Amino acid sequence: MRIVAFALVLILAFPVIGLCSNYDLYAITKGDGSVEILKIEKNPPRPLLQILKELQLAQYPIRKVEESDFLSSRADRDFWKVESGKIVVDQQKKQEHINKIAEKEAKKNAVLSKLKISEAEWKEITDKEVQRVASVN
Amino acid sequence: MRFKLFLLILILSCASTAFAGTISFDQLAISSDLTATKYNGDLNKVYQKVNTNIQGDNVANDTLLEANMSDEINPRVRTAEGAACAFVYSGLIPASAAGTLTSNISSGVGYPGGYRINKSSATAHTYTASRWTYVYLGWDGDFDFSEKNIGISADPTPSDHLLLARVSTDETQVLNVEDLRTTTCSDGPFENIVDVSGEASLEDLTTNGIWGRRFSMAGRTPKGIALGANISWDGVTSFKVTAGSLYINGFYRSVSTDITVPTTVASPTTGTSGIDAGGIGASTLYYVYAVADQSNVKTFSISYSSNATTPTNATNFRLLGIIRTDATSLFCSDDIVTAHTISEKEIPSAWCVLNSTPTVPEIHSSFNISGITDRGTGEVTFILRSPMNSTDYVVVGNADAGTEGHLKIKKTGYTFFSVDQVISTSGAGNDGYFYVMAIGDNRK
Repeated sequence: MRIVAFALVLILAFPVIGLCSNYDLYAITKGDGSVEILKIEKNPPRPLLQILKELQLAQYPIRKVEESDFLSSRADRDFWKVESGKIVVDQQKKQEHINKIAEKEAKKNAVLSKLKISEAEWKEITDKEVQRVASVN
Repeated sequence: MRFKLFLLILILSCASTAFAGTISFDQLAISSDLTATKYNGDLNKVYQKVNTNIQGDNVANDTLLEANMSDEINPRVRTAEGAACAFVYSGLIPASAAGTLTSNISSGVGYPGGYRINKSSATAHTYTASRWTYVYLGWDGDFDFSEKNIGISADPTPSDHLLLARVSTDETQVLNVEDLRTTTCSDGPFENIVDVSGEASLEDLTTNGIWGRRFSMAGRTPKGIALGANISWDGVTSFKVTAGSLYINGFYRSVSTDITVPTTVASPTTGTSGIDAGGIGASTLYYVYAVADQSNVKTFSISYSSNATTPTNATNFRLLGIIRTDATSLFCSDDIVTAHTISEKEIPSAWCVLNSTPTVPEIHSSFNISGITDRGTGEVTFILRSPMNSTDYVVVGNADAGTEGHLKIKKTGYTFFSVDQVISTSGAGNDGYFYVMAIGDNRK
């Protein structure tokens, strides 16, 4: 069992095919609260600050993180935030997004109801290929 | 009387081999008397042939040793004259002459094809007016002359001949003599230079095979050494061929500084670079050639031609590459190709295979990618290790998220480019594999 565990650790330690796989990770909290993850090779070709300036990220708070600081899933990637050095899901932002989707859905249904057509019919008339063929004809 | 007759018979019988070739006698008839006149005459024949006029026919093969020969015609130690190759040991140079088309080729010693030829006295020759006459010494000891119109380079030197000079005449006189003799073997030739007996010679190493790539947009790369000599855009009215060394149709040539190539007509025999004939054309693809037609120099010149195989007025040349002109007959910086080397424009400046599915995206394989930023679902920025020289570069790629997808290039900078993976027609981003490549000017 120990051998299997050791082998597993070894395999997981080299998940990347590229030989130059030594990277540092930084979490950058942007103005809108979203998080951009910088994955940059150790001893980068230019100073980190210069790279951040090139990417127009130098003005935002930056924090060095480790892989262990990340969530196990990427499912809620667009709602990440940095909290106490860890990457966590901003539940409030996620809920706002869910609400926004629901609101949008409700609006759409209201329009469909007014038009007295189904969603399938709506999709058909807004399909880009249908529009393209129509414009050609 | 008997004694004399016996002596004559003895001489004639012993000289049976001497009868072959050059000595013959009228045989005595029975009715003839052996007179003193005939006796003395026949002896005199033997005396003259043996002592002053013996010929090769009278010598049996392999009977004379090399040591028996005079050093003057057959030096026992040829290396005393440095004869390790076909070369001129001394003299053998034509002279210029004012007011006449006749001049002397000086006496001297040469080794055409390894044969030692000693021209013990000067040889006069009358040259044809208004010609370039290439003068050779053959292994048979004769001078040979090859006449060309002025400005035309020499044909390849015939086997077992030594090229001595190029004699230039006008209507009335021998104007100029260009010394083309090989006067030393200490610097080569390359076919004689080997590391160990039986190993490939330096000539083998520098002529066999194609240096760099075999094929390019310019055509097939010629064989032989090609170092440097890259075609470089230098402006709209000229281009450059960088310093380099080339094997050109049997000649080894090298230039230490860049050659600026104008739009004026080239003169290969005087080392002048330019277009091979006529004026520069609009929207024309030109083939650029290195030419080794100037005598007695180590450099090459450049001729460019719309002809893909043979430039006009050039004899010894090799293809270097191509360059184009635009509609106004100006040189374009794009589509410059050097046949034997690959330019930065022809290869990717950076590429990456990235999997954005894991929590932290994985760089599977890459070139010139220092890192990435994960900006959100299906949104990645690639950071170049070695920046581009301008933003005029191209990013292409494809996406794979298990369904139809493509990449949207958001923006480019000198040091990075950003892409979003877009799935289907919904416009929604998604995580998955990114396969991206950037091509542009990344010279350093």
